[in-house]
Amino acid sequence: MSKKIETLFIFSFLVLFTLATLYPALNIIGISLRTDDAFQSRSLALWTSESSFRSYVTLFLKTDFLTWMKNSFLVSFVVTLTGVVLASTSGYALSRFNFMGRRAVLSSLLMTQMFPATMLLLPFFILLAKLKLINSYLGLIIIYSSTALPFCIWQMKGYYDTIPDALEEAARIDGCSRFSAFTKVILPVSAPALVITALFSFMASWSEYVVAAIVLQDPGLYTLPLGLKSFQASLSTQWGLYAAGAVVVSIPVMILFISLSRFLVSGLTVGSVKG
Amino acid sequence: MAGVSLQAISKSFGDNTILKGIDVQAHSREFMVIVGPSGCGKSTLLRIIAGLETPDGGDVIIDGERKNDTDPSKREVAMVFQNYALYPTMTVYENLAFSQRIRKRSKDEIDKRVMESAEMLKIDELLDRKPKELSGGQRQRVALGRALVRKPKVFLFDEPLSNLDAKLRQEMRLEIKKLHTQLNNTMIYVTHDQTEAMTMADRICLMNNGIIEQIGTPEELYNKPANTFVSTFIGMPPINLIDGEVCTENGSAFFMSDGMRINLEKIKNIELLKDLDKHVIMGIRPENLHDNYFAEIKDPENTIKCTVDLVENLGSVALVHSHSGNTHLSASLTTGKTIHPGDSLDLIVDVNSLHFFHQETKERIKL
Ligand SMILES: Nc1ncnc2c1ncn2[C@@H]1O[C@H](COP(=O)(O)OP(=O)(O)OP(=O)(O)O)[C@@H](O)[C@H]1O
Ligand SMILES: [Mg+2]
Repeated sequence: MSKKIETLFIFSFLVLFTLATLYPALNIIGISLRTDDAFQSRSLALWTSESSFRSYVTLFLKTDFLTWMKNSFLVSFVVTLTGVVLASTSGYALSRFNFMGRRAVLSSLLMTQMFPATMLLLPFFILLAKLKLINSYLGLIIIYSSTALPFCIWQMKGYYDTIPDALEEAARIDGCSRFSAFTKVILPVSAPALVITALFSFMASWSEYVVAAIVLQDPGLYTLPLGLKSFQASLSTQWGLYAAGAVVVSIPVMILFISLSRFLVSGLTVGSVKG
Repeated sequence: MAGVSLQAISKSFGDNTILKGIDVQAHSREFMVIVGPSGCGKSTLLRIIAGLETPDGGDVIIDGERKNDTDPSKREVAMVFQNYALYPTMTVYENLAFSQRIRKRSKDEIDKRVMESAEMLKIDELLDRKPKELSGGQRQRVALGRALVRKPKVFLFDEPLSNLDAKLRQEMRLEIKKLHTQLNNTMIYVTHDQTEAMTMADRICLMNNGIIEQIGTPEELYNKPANTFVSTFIGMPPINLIDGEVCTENGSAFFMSDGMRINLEKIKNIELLKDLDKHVIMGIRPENLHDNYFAEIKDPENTIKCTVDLVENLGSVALVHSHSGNTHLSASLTTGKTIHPGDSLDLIVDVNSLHFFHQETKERIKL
């Protein structure tokens, strides 16, 4: 009996949270299908007699949305790649080798996480201005990567620490060099950590607004968050367009999460070693 | 002809000196067992042979070539790890094939080698499974198989059976020994278990605290232990070591200790013992003590009157712990008569199987 009550309790809790999460998402889909003046409507209906895909058509045909999307993909792709390559290798070095300054590196990486990004805006801006990297993707990519990397490196290091040394040693005796033991044996086992690193780096750049706003001033270079913001003019905001944009922006993220989630499994090293 | 020769190998971790000048040679095709108590440096020594650890001093010579600076991947040795270290994301087949794929062998060749080893170890049914879907014993076989596929000149084993239950351990002991007969490679096998050492080895290298106590065949270590440490380590149940004196009375030599007096005249070369310092340690193995009750030839001069403290029945024999005076004696006696704690027991000493050691140096006195 108490088991049933417990289940009931858990489910009502879950349902409540699902609703709380779904409401804004559904709401924004609804708005994207309405006309701008119906924005204030209280109706929760997704589809009303006035609904249409007009905002989506306008979004793709009459705005620079596709350019922004291309820009965002470019930036996010490079940041993700940099994050995965650098975090997987440096995390490995920090986990396996004992070199001078190892502890210093680890704690200074942690220290960078103490400052909120907004606090770093001014120094970033000055730095990029001096390096003539304002209005360039390189500048943006450097900042995104350097803010995402500390977490990713720690995360990778922590995961490698759980993989027994004997695994590489076996690989090396089997004929692998240090590097191929890493790529052929350790990386496959590290899939979950690599996925986390990739998602984290991707998210750090895909939906970032504040830094992008100071680095990118030329509208031709805008990434998606900047582009969406530009619909919000001082006098009137095109809410329909805005909402349609937001919906489209979230689609790649969802696809990424769903397709990568199958790698997020625990216990990949189970059965490898005993004791 | 791939022997392994270690010359004056030393190794420290920080201030801890783990190996203090190890000289040992495993001949080509020999089954050499390195045995010693936990923490004595056996694994470290094996890892130095494999190249996973660099020695601070000394030379590692494999197949006549100095390999100190050779990468583990180029040493042509295969190693079976204490904890198996299977590749968890790969199937059993891929685990076995891995070393061959690295060497870019042809698909057919790989397939042939994998199947051959899998059949030899009876794991051909398991080839599609992942390590996590295997039992401990099966994992052990896969770990062996991975070494076998390589057809290496030298096999290294680091306590491969220590995670298995007693029955399986005994089975695998035989199987590894059989593999050695079939393959005829040099095998170096590390264990802390004297039974494994005694049953498997062509020669045993007994280590303690980073030095070698004795190298020899199992018989040599059992019959002629170089010192008291070897005598206690080899042989199960362990030898009785008794402090005492050698005295001469009326021209005959006697060993005297609390509650014990043994006539040593029947021992060959007993004169040697008489000339030495009187203080010695006498060693007598439990299996060399016999119950006077069943003895065909009584030997009153060498019979010790004991009181039984405890009896461990092992089936065919009973391990009887007893004392005479302050001297503790354990004897393994063939069962035939029930013995109870508190009984008095007459034990006949087989004088020709006695061992004597210097009391100070603990070294064997050669007779
Ligand atoms: N990487 C290392 N760093 C520091 N000390 C180490 C290292 N590896 C081993 N040791 C120490 O060296 C000593 C010998 O270790 P080793 O693993 O060779 O022992 P072993 O004889 O194989 O023992 P066991 O039978 O328990 O496996 C131990 O005291 C151990 O603590
Ligand atoms: Mg060990």
